[in-house]
Amino acid sequence: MKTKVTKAVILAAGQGTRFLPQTKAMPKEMLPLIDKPIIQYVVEEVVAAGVTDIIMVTGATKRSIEDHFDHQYELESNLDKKGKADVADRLRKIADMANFVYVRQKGGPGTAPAILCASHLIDDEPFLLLYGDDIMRADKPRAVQLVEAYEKYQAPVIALLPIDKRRAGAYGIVDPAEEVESGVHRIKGLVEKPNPADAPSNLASIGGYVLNRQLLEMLEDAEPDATGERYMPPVIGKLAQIAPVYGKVIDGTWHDCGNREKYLEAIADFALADPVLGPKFTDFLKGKLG
Amino acid sequence: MKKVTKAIILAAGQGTRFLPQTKAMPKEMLPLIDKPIIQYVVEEAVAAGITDIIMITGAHKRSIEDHFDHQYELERSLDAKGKGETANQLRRIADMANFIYIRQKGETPGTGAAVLNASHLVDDEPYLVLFGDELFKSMTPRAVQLVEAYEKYQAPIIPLVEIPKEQTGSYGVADVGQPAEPGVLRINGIVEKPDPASAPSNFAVTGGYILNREIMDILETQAPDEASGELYLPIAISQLAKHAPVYGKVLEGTWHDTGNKKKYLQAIADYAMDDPELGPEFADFVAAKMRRG
Repeated sequence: MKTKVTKAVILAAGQGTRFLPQTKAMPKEMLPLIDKPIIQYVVEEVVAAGVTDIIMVTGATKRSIEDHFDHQYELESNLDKKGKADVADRLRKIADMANFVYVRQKGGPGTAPAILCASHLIDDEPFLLLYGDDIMRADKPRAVQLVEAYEKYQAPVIALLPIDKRRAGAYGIVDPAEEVESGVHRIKGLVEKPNPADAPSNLASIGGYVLNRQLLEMLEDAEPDATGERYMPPVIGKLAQIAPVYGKVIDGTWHDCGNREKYLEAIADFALADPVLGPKFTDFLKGKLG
Repeated sequence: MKKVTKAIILAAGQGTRFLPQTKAMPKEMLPLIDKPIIQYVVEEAVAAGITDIIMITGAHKRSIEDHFDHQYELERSLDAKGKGETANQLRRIADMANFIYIRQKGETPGTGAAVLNASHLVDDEPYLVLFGDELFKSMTPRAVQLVEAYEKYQAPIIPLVEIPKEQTGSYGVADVGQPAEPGVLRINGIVEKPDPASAPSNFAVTGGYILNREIMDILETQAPDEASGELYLPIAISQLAKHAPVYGKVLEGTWHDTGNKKKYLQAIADYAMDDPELGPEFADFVAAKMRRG
């Protein structure tokens, strides 16, 4: 069994209907945060964690993702000619960050069949799983925090964030067994969208996981939910009942860019934190807020 | 009288100021919340009675064509999910106008050179020129304001926005003559980026012009700017204004040139805060964020 995390699966097959009409002819994962597509933040995060092979699970109309992580010779040589070789080199580095592998999602809706589309590309080894529209602004990238915990405990690790318990109904909430060190919990289960009164903790499972072969095998039997979609998180809950699974509380600001409200907040958060753009954007917002 | 039924939208720029975002997508497709900038521009032109939209594009602009076309798989899958209303909204985008795409050719850069690419598609008729990355947030769409002025004066119309005099060095500034009515002025010419001391007025010329055949004829023989090598449209307009009436229309609304990151962010925040659904929550978010510093 390999023990280093060198592969990442990024789920990017969603239609992005909540962003229509914007996503009529472009993937939601290519929506910008200022001047960089969301999915590039995700890719950079896994590369920082030592990943060399990135498997993207995509669908129709996702071609610009492949183009973005490829060389664009005409543009690059134009930039060279205009004396902007540094910009051209930055573009080239995007294509050289990792080996990019694309598979089309098949096998029905939900995250479970999506992940299974990459199963034949993964041996008996750990792998990172991230969503293509879910990022964190953190001093130490989320994926690095997850992989560090994996290397220490040699078991699946899922990303956790403490939430206001009154909002438990919007998340998957973990049932912690034991805090093995500050911010790392061994978990014994995962409860989807519990009532606040029944929530076993205030720790929500967010995007970002280190998973293994055993989980992939269990995914085959993932049950459909009420809408017929087969989701992966309940399978983690099942795995936790028979094998060690850990949760790592992540330091950072979470941005699930899955809807317009959260996407706008992510833009404002990144813009205000930007050393060049931040001060002027702050001035503009102050004027606008009156 | 000939009606304004054609618009030329300039969308061939490489968008290098937005790299890496624009490595594989056109800058005109950057979103304002949930709609690409260029769709706002198209909707504005359509509101003014435009039926034929000529886009001047370049390499890597394919998603613009896809956006203003039908996407059968997506539309059918929305129908199947009971989201027929959303599917119909998407269909209407494709049906808004006749869309014509021309690749910008020639080595000469500049707005004048870009407009000339569409010369063979306009007869002796007025046409609207818009930039694909520049928009106006206003009660009456900018293009409607311009077309109304054109219909009254039957002469080329350029858009004016009042700016603080100390900023004239960043804009093309109009040399204005007598007002024809409040908010409409005769134009003697356009001066590029004058010092505040020598600026002929404090009216900046924004994007959005109604021009005519004569401008195309002037551009055919105009020499490119010596310093930059670009063939500028404002120079052709100034040339025309020497011997024919040209009017400036002072626009009502907020101008958003989204050509750089700072202004793009401001446009996003401006539209988000004024959105009835998203605005209050977004305003709370940024206010809290700024309090925390």
